[in-house]
Amino acid sequence: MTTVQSRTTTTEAQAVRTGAQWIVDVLAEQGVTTVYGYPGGAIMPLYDALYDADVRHVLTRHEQGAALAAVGHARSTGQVGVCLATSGPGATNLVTGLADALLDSVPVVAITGQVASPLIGTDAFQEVDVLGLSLACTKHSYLVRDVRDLPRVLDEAFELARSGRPGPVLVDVAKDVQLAPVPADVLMARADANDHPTAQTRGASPAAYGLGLEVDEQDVAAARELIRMARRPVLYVGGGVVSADATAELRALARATGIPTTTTAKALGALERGAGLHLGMLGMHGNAAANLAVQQADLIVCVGARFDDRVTGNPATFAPGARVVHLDVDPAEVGKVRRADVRLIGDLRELLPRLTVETDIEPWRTRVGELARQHGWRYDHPGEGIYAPALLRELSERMPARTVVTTDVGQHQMWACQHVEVDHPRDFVTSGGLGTMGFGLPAAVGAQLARPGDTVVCISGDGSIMMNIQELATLRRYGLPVKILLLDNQRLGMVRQWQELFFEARYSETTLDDNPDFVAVAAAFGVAGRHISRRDEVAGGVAELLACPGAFLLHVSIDAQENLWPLVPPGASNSDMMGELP
Amino acid sequence: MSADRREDTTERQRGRPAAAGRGATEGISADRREDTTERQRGRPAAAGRGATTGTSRSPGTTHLEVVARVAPELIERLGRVLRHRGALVERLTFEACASEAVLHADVRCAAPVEVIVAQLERLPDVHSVRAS
Repeated sequence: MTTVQSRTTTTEAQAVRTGAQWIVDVLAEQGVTTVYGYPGGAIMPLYDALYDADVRHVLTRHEQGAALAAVGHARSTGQVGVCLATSGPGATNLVTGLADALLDSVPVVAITGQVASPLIGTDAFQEVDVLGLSLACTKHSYLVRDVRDLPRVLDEAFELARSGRPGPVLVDVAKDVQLAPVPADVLMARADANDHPTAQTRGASPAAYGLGLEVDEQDVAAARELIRMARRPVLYVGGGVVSADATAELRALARATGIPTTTTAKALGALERGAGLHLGMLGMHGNAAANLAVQQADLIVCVGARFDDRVTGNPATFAPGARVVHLDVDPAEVGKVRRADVRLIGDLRELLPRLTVETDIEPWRTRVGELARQHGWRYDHPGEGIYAPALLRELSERMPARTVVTTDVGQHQMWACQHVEVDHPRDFVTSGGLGTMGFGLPAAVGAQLARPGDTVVCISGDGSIMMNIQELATLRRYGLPVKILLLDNQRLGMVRQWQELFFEARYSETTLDDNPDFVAVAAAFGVAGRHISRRDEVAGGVAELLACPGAFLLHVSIDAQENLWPLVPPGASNSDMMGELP
Repeated sequence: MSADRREDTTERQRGRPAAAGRGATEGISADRREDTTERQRGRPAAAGRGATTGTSRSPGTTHLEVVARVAPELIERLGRVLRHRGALVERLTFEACASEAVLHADVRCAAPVEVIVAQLERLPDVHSVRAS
């Protein structure tokens, strides 16, 4: 949990500030430099306060773009992402982005304008029950109908978003509250840090805030003993490591124990490429060696992961011979899907170093090394067309260090997870839990604004890119040099593949042979582009993409029938992978 | 904060939200010991508890007591978690005072009750959850 150190002084607090101005003050106090949003009637007072504020507002072309840009900003930096929208349709358009943040534990604060308090409940113009909408897609949410509540709610919102297991928090602020002066006594009380209630003094849920998580020493000892006694252990690493900023501790544990490692999509980059026995991603489209190692393991040390169905396949057959040590900051995740033999609830940065023990696993390391060699990726492919994995490998090898890669959702996403390697987990930003098509481009907007000195590459598909293609205008408006690698098979490729495999090749509504000319579309938005379709164009195309000083779209035609392998069929065991196993 | 709540918080700080079974024995007895004190403090728990425990409960149901900070949408929040996580509410009472509210529910769970309890405990407004 981060404690805000600089409270507004009493003198400053005594100055009259409207609710809208107070929101901007708090954004600055929280260290927020950039917010993403779209104005409208019920949030006009806040936009007026932003007009000459130091906080930068980035106008996206759709509120979903704003929410996903905030997600991209947060995930590529670890900071809280902030998005704004007006009431009614503005707020409803945020919902997908907030759900994405919830499923992937991303700290986001969304501020929405609501119709004036006297109109709430009257079905006023652009009025919808935003608080009600928010219940299923946020960590927490508030409707502020009294300006006296506003300072407390905003403080809580930021504290909640970043503490414990991070997540999105929505603050819906009635228009009259934005216009009303914040009473001086409220601000003076807040300015006195001693009078300011913290989560702890409020008696709030420790699980939500990650408060006071005291680890039982006996549990630590039990975990150490399980690791020491294991002969076939695997470290199964999830996004909790990234949220906890525990990458260094994880790497140290892997080095010290020599335990083979595998990650979820969200934790890609948590282990250095080529380090130790890192097997890459596991699960439905994971590396075969990772899946086979997990299935043969006698101990799974699950670090900040949640035994998601895309990881486990049939959970009853996942790692059937393994005991489980489960580390997480969220108690609700431990034991939810897979029973844990030892549960360690707390800060991963503190827990991981305590698990370093001497291991006796050389035969297992040899066996896993053989699996890795047997099942390494292959990039030879017949024909003159472009093989997507080979193209992505080319990109991975050529892109500069600390490049941020964002993806959309579908076959291209899983190919990117398999073949693009990064050395830092905040450099790979993909929609893991919700699987949000349309994620990649706005997330790249947020990542590029948050990390202007780094290259940002958005890997997308022809289905996904059309879901938020309007954000090309945002690239142009702010001169963002985002590189878009668009893999176009004129299909909703992942669904098409499943139709082929599981629905008797009945291709219902997955053919997109009426796609627009993407290079022409990019040009219309002022973004340069090039189309390639032959294998011998790959090197030049990738080089041009990366070398372009501004935004660039590389439109790549690939085989419509190309399938993604391996594939664990739905409901099957991870031992039963389909396809052309490498 | 009542001693009752302190005990509960301590349990969660140890990372044991799955203490529903434990709550069924020690938790309830501790709760009953403090019942008089809680009434004296004006906590609304007693009325709800009496309303539920005074009526026979269906076999196979679990009784949940949730103490939370008052918010207009609190019932919705709790009800949504119960529904989404697979608990069918058979009986529910709710009482709120100025700052705190208590919900009593008899639920039939498809999922293990420990999962339901842990999910309720994640709600920021929730102070404590007991299952019996």
